[in-house]
Amino acid sequence: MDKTLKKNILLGFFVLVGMTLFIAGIFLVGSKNEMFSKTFPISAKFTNATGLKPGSNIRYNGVKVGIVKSVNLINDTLVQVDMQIEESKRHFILSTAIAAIASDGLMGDKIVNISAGKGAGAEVRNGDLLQANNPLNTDKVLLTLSQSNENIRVITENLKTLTADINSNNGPVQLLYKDGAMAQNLKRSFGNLDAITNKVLNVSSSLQNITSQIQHGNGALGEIINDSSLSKNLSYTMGKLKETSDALNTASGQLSKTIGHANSGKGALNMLLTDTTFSATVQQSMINIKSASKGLDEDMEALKHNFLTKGYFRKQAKKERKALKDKE
Amino acid sequence: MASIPKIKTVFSKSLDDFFYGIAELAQFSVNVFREGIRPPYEFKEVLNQCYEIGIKSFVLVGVTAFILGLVLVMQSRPTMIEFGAGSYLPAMSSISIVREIGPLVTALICAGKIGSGISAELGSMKVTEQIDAMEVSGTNPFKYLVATRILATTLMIPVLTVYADFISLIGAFTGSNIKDDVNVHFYFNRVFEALHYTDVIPSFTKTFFFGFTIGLVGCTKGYNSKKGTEGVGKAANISVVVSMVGVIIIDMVVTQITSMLGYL
Repeated sequence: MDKTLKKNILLGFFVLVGMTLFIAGIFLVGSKNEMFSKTFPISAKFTNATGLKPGSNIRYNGVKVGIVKSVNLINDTLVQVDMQIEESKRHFILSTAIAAIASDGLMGDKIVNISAGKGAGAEVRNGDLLQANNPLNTDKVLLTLSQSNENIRVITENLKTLTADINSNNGPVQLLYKDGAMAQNLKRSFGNLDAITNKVLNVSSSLQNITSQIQHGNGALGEIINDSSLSKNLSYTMGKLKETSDALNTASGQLSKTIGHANSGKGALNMLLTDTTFSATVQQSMINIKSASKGLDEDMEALKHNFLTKGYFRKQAKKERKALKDKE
Repeated sequence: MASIPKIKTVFSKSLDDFFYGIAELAQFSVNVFREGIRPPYEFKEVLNQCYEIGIKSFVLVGVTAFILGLVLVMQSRPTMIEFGAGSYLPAMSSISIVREIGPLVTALICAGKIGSGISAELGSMKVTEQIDAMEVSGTNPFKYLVATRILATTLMIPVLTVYADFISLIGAFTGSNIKDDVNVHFYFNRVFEALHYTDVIPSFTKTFFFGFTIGLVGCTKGYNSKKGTEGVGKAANISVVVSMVGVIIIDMVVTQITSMLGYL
């Protein structure tokens, strides 16, 4: 083959491959920038469109659906962002959708993020104006951060004072920290507190058992509380007890009156209690009566064996037996 | 080419030489356009020069571009990881390569290899009076030697840049895979997602100016070389330096214009 022809063939191949690469690159860049796909326009108005520029991506729920066509000021407070959305994604975007300016990743470019709005809506149409969710104002965030920083500064100063107080030799916390005896006492106290708590716990548990048993009607108290008949009986008893108490009260009053009368020095009882001569006479009379009674018993026994009176006593015994029989 | 008359210096010798060099380049470029558009056209010589400039520089440009892409990612990765922006490596590397590294590296490599080659070749022809012989034989040396070479550099530098961009991106992908495990589809998806026409078109356009500058400087310095073989070496040397500075100045101007148009 002719050397020049060979060179030219190689050159043609070289240039063709180079141009193919270039055209492929252009096509790829264009396809990523929605240059060759069919699109439709929509827009949104924001108060601040910092960082947004023509060519910025538009994502719907995170998926790229188009690019920003232009960013224009329309008055002193609003910026209109015109967007080109892929025609194939139209049916996903409803007229209730909300557009917001967001960052593509933590350090990424600004993008427009469209998300589904509340409620059902019609499919978005050409030139529709989407509802805009205005971006967070960085200045306001910084102002809030500044106030938070001031609060943190105050808290830090307070903490500084507190720690200085803790570190001072005479402070209560320092005393607690360094005094071994106090620490031991505290430890013991806490031990005792622990034991007391355990006991209280046990008592509480026992009380709980008792309460449970009472509730179930076990034991005397349970019966009292839960048995209605016993309650009635108890009520009746209490009534009777009251009556008895009243009677006792009356008797006590009368006794008190009698004792008062006796203490006044009048009557036989006072004489019996206070006059020793009378008391001795009464005692002698009682001995005499006892002696007379014994003699009378002997006489009566003698009469039972006397033939004149024996019949009478037999009749009397017969009557008593009969009466006893009738009674049975 | 009219020779500079022997007069006293206007500013100083070096300043006069500088301004004379600029005038020489301007005059030469006017002649190139004038001779280039007039028939007959030297297509065969243009193709020959395209082969010499394009294909014979491909390996050098390709290897350099691959290494630069690889090194760019390896150098940037630790810092970007430190700032939590590791996932932006493909985007960063693609924009850097397409906007700046690819065109500039290609142009600088070609300024060194092609510019010095053209200058030395034409200088040798000049000092050995081959150019004079061509004129005597009825061949327009300006059209045959100069216009063809400048046209070839103007056409081939953009093609070489396209190759350099792609090879450099492959190098960057390789660099990403040395420490990470990046899927080729994911990587190139991120690369082309990050690129816009505003990145590709200005950078591709400026390569035509780079090529024209390299060819123009090389041909001017070689065609006007004097003082025998010593002048040939000097012309080759000056041609490399001037074309590199010219490329960087054009790069700066194009970047400024792109910025003024709002594409940066």
